[in-house]
Amino acid sequence: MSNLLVVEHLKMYFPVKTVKGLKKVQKYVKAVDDISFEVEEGKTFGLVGESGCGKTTTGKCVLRVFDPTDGVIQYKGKDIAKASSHALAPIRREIQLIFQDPYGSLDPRQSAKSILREAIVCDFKKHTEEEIENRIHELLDLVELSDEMGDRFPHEMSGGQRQRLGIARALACNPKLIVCDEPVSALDVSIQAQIINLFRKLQKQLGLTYIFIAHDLAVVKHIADKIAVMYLGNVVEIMESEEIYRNPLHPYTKALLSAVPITDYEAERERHRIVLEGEVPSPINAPSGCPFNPRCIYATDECRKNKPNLKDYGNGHMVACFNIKK
Amino acid sequence: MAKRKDNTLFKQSVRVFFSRGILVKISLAIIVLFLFVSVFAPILTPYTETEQHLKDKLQAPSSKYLLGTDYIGRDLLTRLLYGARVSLMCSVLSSLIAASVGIILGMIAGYYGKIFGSIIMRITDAQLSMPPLVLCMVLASVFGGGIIGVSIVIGITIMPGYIRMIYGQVLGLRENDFIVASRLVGQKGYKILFKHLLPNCFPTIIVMFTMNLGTAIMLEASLSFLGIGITAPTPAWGSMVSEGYNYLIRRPNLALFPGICVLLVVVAFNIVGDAVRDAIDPRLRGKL
Amino acid sequence: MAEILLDVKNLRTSFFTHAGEVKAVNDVSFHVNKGEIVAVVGESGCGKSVTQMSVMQLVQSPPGKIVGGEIWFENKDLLKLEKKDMRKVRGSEIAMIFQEPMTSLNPVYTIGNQITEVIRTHQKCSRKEAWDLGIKALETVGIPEPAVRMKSYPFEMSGGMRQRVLIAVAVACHSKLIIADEPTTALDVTTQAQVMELLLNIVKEQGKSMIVVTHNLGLVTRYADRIYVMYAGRVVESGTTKEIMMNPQHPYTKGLMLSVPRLDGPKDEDLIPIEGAPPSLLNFPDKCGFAPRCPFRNEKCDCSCYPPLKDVGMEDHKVACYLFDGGRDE
Repeated sequence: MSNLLVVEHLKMYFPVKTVKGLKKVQKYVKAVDDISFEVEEGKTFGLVGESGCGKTTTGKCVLRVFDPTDGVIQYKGKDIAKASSHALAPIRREIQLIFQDPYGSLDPRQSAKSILREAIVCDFKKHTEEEIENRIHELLDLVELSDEMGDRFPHEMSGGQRQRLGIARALACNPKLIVCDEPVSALDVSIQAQIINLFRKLQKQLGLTYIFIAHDLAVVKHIADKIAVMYLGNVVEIMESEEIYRNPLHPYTKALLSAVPITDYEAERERHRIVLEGEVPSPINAPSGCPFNPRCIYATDECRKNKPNLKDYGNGHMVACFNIKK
Repeated sequence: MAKRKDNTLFKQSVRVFFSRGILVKISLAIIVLFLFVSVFAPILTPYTETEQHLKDKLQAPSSKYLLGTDYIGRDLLTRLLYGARVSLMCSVLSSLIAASVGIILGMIAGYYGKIFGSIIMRITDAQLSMPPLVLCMVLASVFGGGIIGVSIVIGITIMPGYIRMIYGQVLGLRENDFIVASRLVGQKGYKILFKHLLPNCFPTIIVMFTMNLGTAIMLEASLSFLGIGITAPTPAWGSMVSEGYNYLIRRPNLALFPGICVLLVVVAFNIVGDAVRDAIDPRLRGKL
Repeated sequence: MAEILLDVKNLRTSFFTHAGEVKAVNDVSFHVNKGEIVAVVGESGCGKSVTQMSVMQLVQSPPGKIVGGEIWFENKDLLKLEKKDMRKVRGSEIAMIFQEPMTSLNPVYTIGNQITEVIRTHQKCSRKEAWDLGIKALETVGIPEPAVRMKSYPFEMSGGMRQRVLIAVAVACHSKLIIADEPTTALDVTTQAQVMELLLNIVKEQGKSMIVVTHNLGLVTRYADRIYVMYAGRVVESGTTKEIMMNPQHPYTKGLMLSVPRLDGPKDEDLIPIEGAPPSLLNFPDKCGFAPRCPFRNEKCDCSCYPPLKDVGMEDHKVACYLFDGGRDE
C-alpha cells in the first residue's frame, strides 16, 4: 500500500516575546521540532504523548490550520506545507478533523441537519434539494444516528451523539484522511467503546486513513496500526501497535507504559513500575541534546550534547536513542 | 432548514419569555401601551399637539384638560402622547442605525483583524474618548433637528458600543472549534460571519439593542432638554421636561409626567431585553 | 478486626429542580476502615461525586438537599452536627482534593497564602508558624525548593504541581480521612502515576484512610483495597478489589470491563460496548437503573423496586441484581 501522507522534518515554532531585564528577547515555543513519519493509505497512524508533546500541533499542521515553520508535508505526492490557500482549495475537503470536545465543535445555534447541510454544499457543486436530503440521511445512517436526531440541536444530544455528528460532518466532505484529535477522551467510558467501534467500521467500509491522536495508550493501541510516541516536540519511537506493549524500546515509552494502570489484577499488582522524576520541561526551554535526557535514568554525556535520530531496529521499529542495545 | 416547524420553535421561545416573571409582563404591557398611544394619538385626544389655548394656560388637571395645560395653553396629555411617537421613533431609528453599521464594522474588525481591525478600532477609540454630548452637539449642527437628523446623531453616538462589543465577541468566537470546522469544510469567510458568528452574537446584540433603546431615549431627552434635539414646537419628552422645569413649583406636572414616561419606557425596555435574550437562547428552550 | 472510620448509611441526596426531583444519591451505604483505600467507581452522573460532597456537606442547597441517611464519623453523626462543628470536621478531620487543579486554587493569591490560610483556620498558630508548616507540607509532597514555591502563584506551576499543592493543603491539617475526587483525571499519564504514588505513600505512612472517586478502573486495580461500583445513584456492586476485578458479577461491572480497551488485550477484535447511554435521573422510577441496557434483563427487573444488595461469593462481595436473588450465582 502506498503512503498517503509523508511528513519530513516538520517544524512548528511559535514566536513568543519575553522580557529579560529591559531587553525584549525573541523566544520560540518549539511545539514540533523536526519530526518525520509516513502514513500508509487505509491504515491508522497513532500519535501518543502527554500534554505539550506536540501531537495536536502536528495534526493541525497537517490540516494546515497552522502554517508550518519548516518541513515538507506530502499529501498524495504533493507538498502542502507551504501551499497557498488557492492551491490547497481542491484538496481541502479531503483532509478533515474530528475534535476532542464534541460540544465545542458544533455550532450551538444550528440543528444537526443544518450542520451537515453546510458541510455538503461547500464543495461548490450544484446539488438539488433531494440530493442534499438523501446525503444527510445517508450520513446519519453511517454514524448510526436516527433521522429524528437530525432535527436536534447540540445541547439536546448526549456526548456520544455529538461526537457521531462531528464524524458525520467530516464524512460529508468525502475525505481520504481524517485527523482524529483525542476523539474519545471527553466521553464516558461506556460510550468510548461504541465510538471506537464506529471508527473501525467506517475505516473498513470507506477505506479511510486516520491519524489518531490520543494520550490513552490502550485506546490508541486498539485502533492504530502504527504508533508514534512523541515527547516535547520530537518523535522518540515509531512501531507496530502490537509492539508497544510487547517490546517498547525507548526509555520514555517504557515509563509511559509503566504509568498506565491495567485492569488485570494480578498482573498489575506484580508489575515493576517506573515512576519518572521531575516534570516535562517547558517547550520554550527545551533541554539540549536528547529532549528526554534530564529525566532519563540511562542518560550519558552524549545524550546531553546531541539529539539522537530515529534508527531502525528491525521490522520498521524506529527509536531515537543512543542507548538501545541490540 | 430544520424540519421542525418554526412554529414550535417560536412557541417555545414565547413560553420561556413569559416564564421570566411578572415584571416582564408588566414591562411588555407598558411598551405596548406606549406604542399604541403613539400610533393612535390623533384619535385619543381632541386636541392637536400644537393647539394653544392661551386663556387656559398653566391649568391644573381638570375634566377639560386631563393632565392640565402648559405655559402656552397646550394640553399636556396630548403633548405626551405625540411625544411618545417622537421619542419611540427616534430611539428605534437611532438604535437600528447604530446596530446595523456597528455590527458590520465590529464583525469585520474582529474576523479579518490586522489592518481593517486596527483602523476600525482606533477610530472607535477616538470617538469614545470624546464626551458624548459634545459629540452630539457637533453632529446636531450638521444633521439638524428633525427626527431623522436627531436619530442619525444619536445613532452615531452609540455606535462604538456595538463595534467594541461585537469585536470582542467575534475575537473570542473565532477560535472556537466549530468555526475551525466550517473553515475546514471549505466555507467562505463572509458566510462564516453571517451564518455562524452573527447568530452566536444574537444574545448580546438583543440585550444591547434593548438597552440602547433606553439609552437613545435618554439621549434624545437630554438633547432636547439642552435645546439641540428635536426642535420646537414638535413635542418631545426631553424638551417638555426642559420647558416644564421653569414651572416646577407652580405646576410640577409639566416636568414630572414627561420624566416619568421616560423612566417607565427605559426600564421596560431593559427588562424586556433581558427576557428576550433568555427566550432566544436555544439552550433554555428545552428546560422550562 | 478492622476499625470503621467512616460509616455512611442509607444516604439520600436529591436535587429539586423546576422539572422534578433528581435522585442523585439514592440510598447509598458504604464504609471506610482505618488505614484503607476505598474506591468509588462509576461514570459521570452516577452520583459518586455528589455522595462525597454530601459527606462533606458541600452540596449546593438549593437546589440540592440531603434528604435522608446517617453519616457516622468517629461516633458522630455528621448530619446532625451544628454548622460550626461541621466546619471543624471539614478540613481538619476530613480533607477533600478536587478534580480540577486549575481552578481549585485562587489565581490571585500565592500558594503560601492559601496554604497558611487553611492551616490557620484549623490550628491556632502564628503566621510564621503556619508558613513553616506550609513549607514542610510542600516538602512532603515532593515539590522542589519549597521555600521559593510558597511565594509562587498558581499560574506559574504546572498541573501536576498544582495537584501536589492541593494534596499538601489536604495533608497539612493531619486529617484522618482524605477524599480524592478524580484526583488525576486532568493530569498526564506519567504525572498521574507520580501523584497517585505520592498519595499512596502519604496514606500508608501516616495511617490515614482515603476514598478515591474515579472512572478509571486501572487506577483502582492498582491502588484500592475495596471498591464500590455506582450506577444511577445507587451502589450496584461492592467488595475487595481482587474479588471485583477478577470476578465481577453485576452486568454493569462486567460490561464496563469488557468495553474498556486494554493494553494487554487483542487488537483486532471489536470492543464490546454497553449499548445505550446512562439514564437521566430526573423523576427516575424506583427500579434497577441499569435494566434498559442490561443484556441479562428479565421480567423481574421491570418490577417497581430496587434489587437489594446480596452477598455473593467470598469476602463480603455484594451485588444488587435480580440475577442473584437467591444470594448465589446464576
